[in-house]
Amino acid sequence: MQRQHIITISGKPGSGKSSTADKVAELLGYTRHSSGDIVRQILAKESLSLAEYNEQARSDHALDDAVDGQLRQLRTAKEVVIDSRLGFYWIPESFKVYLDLDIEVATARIYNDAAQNSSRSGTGEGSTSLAVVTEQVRTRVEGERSRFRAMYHIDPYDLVHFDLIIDTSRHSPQTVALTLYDTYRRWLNAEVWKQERSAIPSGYSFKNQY
Amino acid sequence: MKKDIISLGGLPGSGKSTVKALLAEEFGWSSFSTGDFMRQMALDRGVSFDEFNAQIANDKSIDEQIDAALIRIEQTENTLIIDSHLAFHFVPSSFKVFLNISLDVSAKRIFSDGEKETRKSVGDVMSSLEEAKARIKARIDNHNDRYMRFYSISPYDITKYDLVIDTENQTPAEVAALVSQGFNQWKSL
Repeated sequence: MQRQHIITISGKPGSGKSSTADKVAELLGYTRHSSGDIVRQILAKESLSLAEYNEQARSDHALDDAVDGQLRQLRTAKEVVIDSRLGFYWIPESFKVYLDLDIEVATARIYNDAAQNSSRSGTGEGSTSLAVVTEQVRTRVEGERSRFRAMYHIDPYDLVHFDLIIDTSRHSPQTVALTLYDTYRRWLNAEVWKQERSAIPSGYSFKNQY
Repeated sequence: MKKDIISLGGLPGSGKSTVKALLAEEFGWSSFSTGDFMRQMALDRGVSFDEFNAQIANDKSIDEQIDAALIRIEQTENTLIIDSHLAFHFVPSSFKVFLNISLDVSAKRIFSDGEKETRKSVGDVMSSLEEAKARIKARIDNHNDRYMRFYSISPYDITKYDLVIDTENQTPAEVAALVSQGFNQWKSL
């Protein structure tokens, strides 16, 4: 079986899609693409915050179309890693990975991240209280769910779409990346593939556990 | 019956040998390192470590010597710290630890580690950070290919381990403490 050398990484907000994709690309020597970067470029150009973007995207599909257009073009690319909620949808022949995690951990990560990471805080993703962030994450997940359902008739958080599911709640992006890398190499050589859920052993991936 | 054997696997530059030395001192156990074993072989042949790795890519006899050493450990040893990619496979009675590290940080470590005698004597020293990264990646690919071909196993399949530690933001002493703590839990189970 001739596999496409494309990895798409989807999953929950805060699951580490971006950092994991960076590290997988490094291990494989692949090129990195990200729908987050595409969105952030649009936000910067239009001077919108992420909340405003999500609000506007409900009724105005031009924003999503712009992101989709750039993603679809990657279908003919070779040796790329793409982190995108809808990567699995636009490139179904890719190695489709879903990064899962507990909502509490998601919130804590985004909250902590916002304090340090300027690419998020510049777009209004950083906020003052944990409760506010929790509400933001929930609103974002639900907003995306209903938007994608309306636009594409799919649920990006339905695990059925994926080749590999990794629970990232207790592991660093580097550990998730290595598991992804290792499974991808097996997928490349496999005649048939059945969805896998990775069983990373207990560990001390993080210096400070959430 | 669980033995007092800890095996450390992991990516190049993850700190296996440093952590091994710390644990050996803490527990008062002796240690075995397949990396040092192979570096010594490279030294005996008068080639650099990467040349040596390239030479043995198709030569199973070197692997067989290492395998034999590991199998002997599994059969006869009761207390030991092992630093080896394949110990999780050949020494299944050990407490199996995987030390993880990103390529970026690993490259920085190995690059600045050039002063260490075990590396310096076999040309395992990098002239730039980029070169370090490329050579580490080549080493990972080489391990993957060789072990898949010879044993049908992946040395970087962390699901085969008892404990995985990301060493990126931790000192060797902190990592050693986590291994030690994990080992005690494992023994008591």
